[in-house]
Amino acid sequence: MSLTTPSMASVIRKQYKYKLRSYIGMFNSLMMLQVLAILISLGATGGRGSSNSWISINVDYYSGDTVIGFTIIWGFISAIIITTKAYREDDFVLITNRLSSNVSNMLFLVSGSVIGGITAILAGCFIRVIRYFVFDSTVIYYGNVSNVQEMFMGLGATIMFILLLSSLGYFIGTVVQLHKSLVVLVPVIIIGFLIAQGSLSNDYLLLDLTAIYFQETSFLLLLCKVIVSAGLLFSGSIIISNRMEVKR
Amino acid sequence: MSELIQILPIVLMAAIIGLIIFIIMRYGRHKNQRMMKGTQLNFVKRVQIMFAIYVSVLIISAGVYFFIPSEGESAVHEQIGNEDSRYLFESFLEGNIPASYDKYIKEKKSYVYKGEQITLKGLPNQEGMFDVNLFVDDKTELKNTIEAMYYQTPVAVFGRKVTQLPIPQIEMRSNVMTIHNPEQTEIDFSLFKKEFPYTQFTGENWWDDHINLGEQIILIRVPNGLELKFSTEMNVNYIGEMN
Repeated sequence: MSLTTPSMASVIRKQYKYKLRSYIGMFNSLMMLQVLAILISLGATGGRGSSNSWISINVDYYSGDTVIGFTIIWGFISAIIITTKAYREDDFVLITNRLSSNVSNMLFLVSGSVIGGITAILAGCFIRVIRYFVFDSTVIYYGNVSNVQEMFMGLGATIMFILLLSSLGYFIGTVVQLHKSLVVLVPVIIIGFLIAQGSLSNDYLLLDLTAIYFQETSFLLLLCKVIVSAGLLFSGSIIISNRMEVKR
Repeated sequence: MSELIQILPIVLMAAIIGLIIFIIMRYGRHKNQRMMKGTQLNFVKRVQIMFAIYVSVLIISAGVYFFIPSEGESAVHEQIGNEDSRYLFESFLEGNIPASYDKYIKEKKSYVYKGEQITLKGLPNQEGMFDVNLFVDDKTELKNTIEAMYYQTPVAVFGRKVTQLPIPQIEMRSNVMTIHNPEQTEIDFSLFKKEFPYTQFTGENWWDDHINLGEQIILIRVPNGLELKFSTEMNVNYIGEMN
């Protein structure tokens, strides 16, 4: 029996390192999803046309938006999955308590968001390169990023969006763990509320909520909004998780 | 039917989310390390190698990406200025044709005729379309000569000028001038738009950009007093008829 008590920081560090290896499948699915999104994006993601009897002009749009969208959904669903019983039980391989388990999960989600964000942005470059060298079409505009600052802002925003949805997924996943019936009730309540609210009012709450983040034109403000929101969602998850422990 | 179209995006979204969940469950499968230690280690190694290859390819493509020109070539040229977006049709109706409009003349021809009467005839294209804007200026000092001028204002796609444009054929035989509506020219372009996390901060509103087909006008200048006859498909306007 050891008389030394490991510090919380060292426990979290060990758990985080363990989870990076143990949850490696998450990155496998991220890669698969991004490859699928790249293949979809190589075809046009939109288009516009105009014509008269003399001229008919068609413009096909290409972008890496699908890859980013898929990665954001990946972050959301992966966060829910790591709150499930099978993943929680893995924590008991190491010395653990609810707090260290939650914090190491959150660190894993932050890492996942950073990796997902970087690869999603790079995938956008990959799509352009493939279209440029492989497909023969008259391109009028490549929409390339003009400077490093712009690139970092786009990258930062992508990471923030993935992190935001990951924290939301983690919160929902934790709530659902309170009782089995919540697996059905939570999605029904959320979707039902949004449909009811949309049909009763001209304002759509979901659109208003997403506009707070997705229409923010200041990078610093977006950063603050996401950090505060993700912080609140993660804190809420820890509180709910601790209640769960007391109940059991 | 319209209700079906309304729920289509929801069905599509649900299908995409379903597909994403399937891929995460299939490829992101979690194995209990204690139970399947050997297999798990192989799995970790394999994913690490595959992910490293994937990231390497992405990084190389990012390096190549910076050498791709941001502007396309061949069919499109410099961005058009504001002065190019004016309306010729209204100016012609008002009888106001400044010298600056000469830059829009893509073709100019003169025809000599004999007699007191000319017939103008329109010939539709293979799709049976004839929508040539024809203006007649019958107050000129010309003698036994008809001038035909073809005006084309810039055709622009997302603010960039298109140059490969059709020109209508005009021919004159035995005092009959025939104007051929050109066959429709199809031009396809590709446009790479920046991803939404970039445009969110730069304020680039690419969706508001549009395709401008420009104006195509044929101006026929004839001597004062010449009698003109038109075939039924011709849509004829006179210079300054609004005054």
